[in-house]
Amino acid sequence: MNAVLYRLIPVLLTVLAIGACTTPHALLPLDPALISAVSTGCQRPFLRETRRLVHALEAELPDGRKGTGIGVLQADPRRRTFRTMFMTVEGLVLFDIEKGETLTVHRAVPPFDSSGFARRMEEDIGLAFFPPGASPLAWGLEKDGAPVCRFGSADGEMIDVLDRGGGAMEVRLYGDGQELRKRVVIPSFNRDGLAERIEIRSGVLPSYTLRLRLIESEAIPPEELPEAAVRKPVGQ
Amino acid sequence: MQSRPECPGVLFGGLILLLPFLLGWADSWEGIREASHRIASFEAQFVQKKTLPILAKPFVSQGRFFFQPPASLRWEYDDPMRSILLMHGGVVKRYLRDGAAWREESGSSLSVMQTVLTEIVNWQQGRFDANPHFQASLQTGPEPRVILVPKEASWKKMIRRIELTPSREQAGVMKSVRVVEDEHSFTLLEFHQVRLNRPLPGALFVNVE
Repeated sequence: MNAVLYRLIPVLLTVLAIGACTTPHALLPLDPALISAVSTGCQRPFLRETRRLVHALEAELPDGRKGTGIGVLQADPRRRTFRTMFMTVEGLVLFDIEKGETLTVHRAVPPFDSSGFARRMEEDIGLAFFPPGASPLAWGLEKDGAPVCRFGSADGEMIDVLDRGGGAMEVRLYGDGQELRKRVVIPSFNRDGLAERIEIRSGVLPSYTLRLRLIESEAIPPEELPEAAVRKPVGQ
Repeated sequence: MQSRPECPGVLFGGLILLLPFLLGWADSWEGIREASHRIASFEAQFVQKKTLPILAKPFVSQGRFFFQPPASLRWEYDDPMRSILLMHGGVVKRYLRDGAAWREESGSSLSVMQTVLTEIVNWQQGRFDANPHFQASLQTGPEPRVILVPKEASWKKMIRRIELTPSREQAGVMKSVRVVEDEHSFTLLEFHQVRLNRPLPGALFVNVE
């Protein structure tokens, strides 16, 4: 009996997760004269140049536990490459991954060594900091009137970028089953056009929420970013 | 059997925090033990500089800490994140500023707290040989240093060594702590405005504010 239950649990959880998801709805028509402006606005959440960013980071896990630390990110939006480190307030690096042609885990201290954590982090960074594509597949309006750019990907996923008004933006990732997988909310931007705060909510198991507050940022000129330096692993 | 650093942040924090009070001036372990026994309380400002291969300049944090034997401690970061680690009466708690209020951070296990407290007692008495995680060596000379090297592979993955530089002016006080993770990554804590043996209110180690 117990064995049967154990086998059923993942199935039940999956069903519940899917049931809780939102299917990307059809967009209301957008005045074609506004497409250019909306497209420009849809680029606002994302980096336009290679940057170093330091964030205060809070992670909220499904059991209610919260962990806090410092996140350091060096990201190149053109090549969609990055290196990111998460450390304690005291400075101990717990997690260090690098995305070049492949994803490399330089360090993953428990509990960050769990299967799939690095992939989820890669996806979160891509969603929050990198433009989803060169040009949207569609433009439209939400029911509440928020302008939307809809991007697609070869693997069937879909990304909506919404202008929430008042300076706020939102990015939604839908899975290939059209379920809402992740949501990035950016309430405001600083004078450099960078997100001051970012909230990333994962709607799929294991659900979690990341909250980032920008502490420092620095643009990196291309001449200061030799490819070898970016991809050279620590300690080698 | 190797112990696994299940909550390295807390262990690391305890290690960094406590060493300053326990090292001394000393060209010998006996001198270190004597200096640490003479400290009735310790308070200081600190600046922490974190160097990483992807940072052009070190990431700087600063704050204050307070210590009172046998095992009461407050390690407080003021900038850029507000965080307070408290140790008192065998209990370790961490608080983080969350908007306008302080929030106690959850997730630290009781066993980790007990480990930290055990190490506090050992270091307070200058008993570096009692630390199960690090091998201590004393470099004497014009610039004396205590070097701590992890004994276990699990710790070596995170920390190569810890270098402690004692103050020449104040026995029982150290000038800096340098935690080396690899040749590109290290943390430097520099202490200043050190005050010794002033009476500290007990509430300082129990209450956030």
